[in-house]
Amino acid sequence: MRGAAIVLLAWGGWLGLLTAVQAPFGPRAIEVEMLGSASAACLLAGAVLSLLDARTARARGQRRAPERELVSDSSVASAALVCGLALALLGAGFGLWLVLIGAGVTSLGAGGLVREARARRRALARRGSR
Amino acid sequence: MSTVALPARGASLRTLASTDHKRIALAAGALAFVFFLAGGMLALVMRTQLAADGGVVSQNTYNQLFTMHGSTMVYLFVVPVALAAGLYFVPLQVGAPAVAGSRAALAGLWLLALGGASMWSGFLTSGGAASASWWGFDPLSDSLHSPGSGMELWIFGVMMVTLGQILWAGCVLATALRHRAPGMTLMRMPVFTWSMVATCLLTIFAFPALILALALLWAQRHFGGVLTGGLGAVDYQQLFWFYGHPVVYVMFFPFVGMVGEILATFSGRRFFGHSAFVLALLAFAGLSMTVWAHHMFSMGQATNKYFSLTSTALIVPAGIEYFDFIATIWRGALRFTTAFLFALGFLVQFLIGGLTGVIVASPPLDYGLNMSYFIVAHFHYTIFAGSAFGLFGGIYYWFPKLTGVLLRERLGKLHFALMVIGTNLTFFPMFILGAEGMTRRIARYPAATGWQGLNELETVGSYVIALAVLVFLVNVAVSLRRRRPAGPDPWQGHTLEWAASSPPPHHNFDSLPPIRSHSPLLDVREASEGAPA
Repeated sequence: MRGAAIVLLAWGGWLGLLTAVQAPFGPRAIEVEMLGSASAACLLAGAVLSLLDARTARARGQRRAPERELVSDSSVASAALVCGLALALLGAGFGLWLVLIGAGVTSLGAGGLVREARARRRALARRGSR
Repeated sequence: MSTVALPARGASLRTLASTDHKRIALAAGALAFVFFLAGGMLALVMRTQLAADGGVVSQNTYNQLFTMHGSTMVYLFVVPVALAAGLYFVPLQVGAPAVAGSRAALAGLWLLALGGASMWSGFLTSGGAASASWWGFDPLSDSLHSPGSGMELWIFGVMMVTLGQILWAGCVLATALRHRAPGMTLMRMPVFTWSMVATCLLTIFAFPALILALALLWAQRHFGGVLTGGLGAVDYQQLFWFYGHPVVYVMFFPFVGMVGEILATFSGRRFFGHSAFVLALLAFAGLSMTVWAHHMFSMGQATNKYFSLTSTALIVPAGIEYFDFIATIWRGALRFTTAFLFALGFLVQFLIGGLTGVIVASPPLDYGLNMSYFIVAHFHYTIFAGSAFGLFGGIYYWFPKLTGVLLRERLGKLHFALMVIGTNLTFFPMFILGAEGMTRRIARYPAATGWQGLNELETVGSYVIALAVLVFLVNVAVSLRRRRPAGPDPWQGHTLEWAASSPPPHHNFDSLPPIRSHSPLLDVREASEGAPA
């Protein structure tokens, strides 16, 4: 969708202007760094999105847009991945045993995500061949 | 473009692992509401303590109560419910079949559940839950002053919940910017969707500062030397408030958007000044990233003049938004439904919170009022008397879309009346107590201060709020049990979600009306009314 990047670029620019307005007031370094970083991150995201938009527009010119969009129903793997990461994080405070359990659950979740991605590709290919 | 649903699995999986944005948002909303009830119970205990001459709980328990009350309401209720509303309605309002990054959205739900459980499980530990306030300022929160695992669980819990909220914001923002239906240009997005864009920008670019601050705090607790020396504790505050003020607007903008939709629908008029409103909203969001250190005026370690200037400048975009609201309902064919009443309540009560914000935006005035009950009154008028009214307005407005049934209007109006009485009884006397010098976070006060009477009045008010919430729960139960079908568009709404069935199907829409403005359904209605019979 065209025009999306303009929101991020404009808002990042607005944050940049507000960062610059700090200058005459003699700000502390951390105040400039935090607001300036947010501005830079937003501008960067806008620039990346702008490149993606341009690439999408070029691709549309070369081939037809997909007529179908796959809407997934559930993802147990995502839930497992998050549970594993949460356990591992808690393990940082409560011991290596919990980190290891968390790592195990995370790897199961990651494997599940790969499996889901393959299933999705197969489903798209099947629909596309009909 | 047509949509294809992958095969469905079992019912339990549908609830726990569904990637349908509507199911995720409903689960998040329900979970957040449970946390709201739990946080509200803590508030009732605190209010009882302050009315009963400090004889209900110890000072240490009281510290845990206000810490977990604030933490629950901010991290686990208002922010999640605000983002959940966006997760449900933004894809519908822009005509998308699903939310972008549905797995990340599901991850956000699990992070909310696990983070909330982590924070609350502190009550089960020997030292009790976290007791260093919802800010967790160092050195109050270091291992010397807050020993035990309650604080650890709080740190990890808040980190998880915040990460989940960033994921949700990314999903909602990507949906609004990249997954719009043909014809839905940026300037045709409804006001609620734009309010969510502003909310998501704040979430994505401000919330990481909290995760960084908490990681530093955790390192300080375990290894030391991170936040010590020179201005370490002040730098924690800088990082915290870089999150801590934008979050106030994350708890405000979505409800501004909801109120805008409600006012337009129940006035029977197109939203006034849509473009000016959008620009004001984005300017407002940017300015709200620049006011964080007004929480630090009295410390002498921030650039007070700059932050006073930006804090006062907030009144300009806020004024534009209020102007648009009033102009929208001006000479409209008003329908005084419960949703409309809550929207009006939001406008009036948030104004009290906003105008007292102008007072504390001035450093000389803030020096006297900082850490007093005046501040407690100010932010409760913005977050509870303001945003919670917007939220309840949104619930009454969209409940038919979520469930397919209408809430009872008579019970709704009773709920509204009790809420108005309860919130003003509870929070208005706090302005007076604050001006008289009553400080925050005290479990007891000397009888000679003469504060008992107003504290008792506030406590009565808090129980009236509890009664109001009970009436709301009864309304939901009765309405779901004795169903009055709503149909797809019971209010004659203006935006695309009302073109879907109630509740919407998995893929949201079977077909979309033509989109030629920010009120496509109003366009269709006007065209059919103008067409010859």
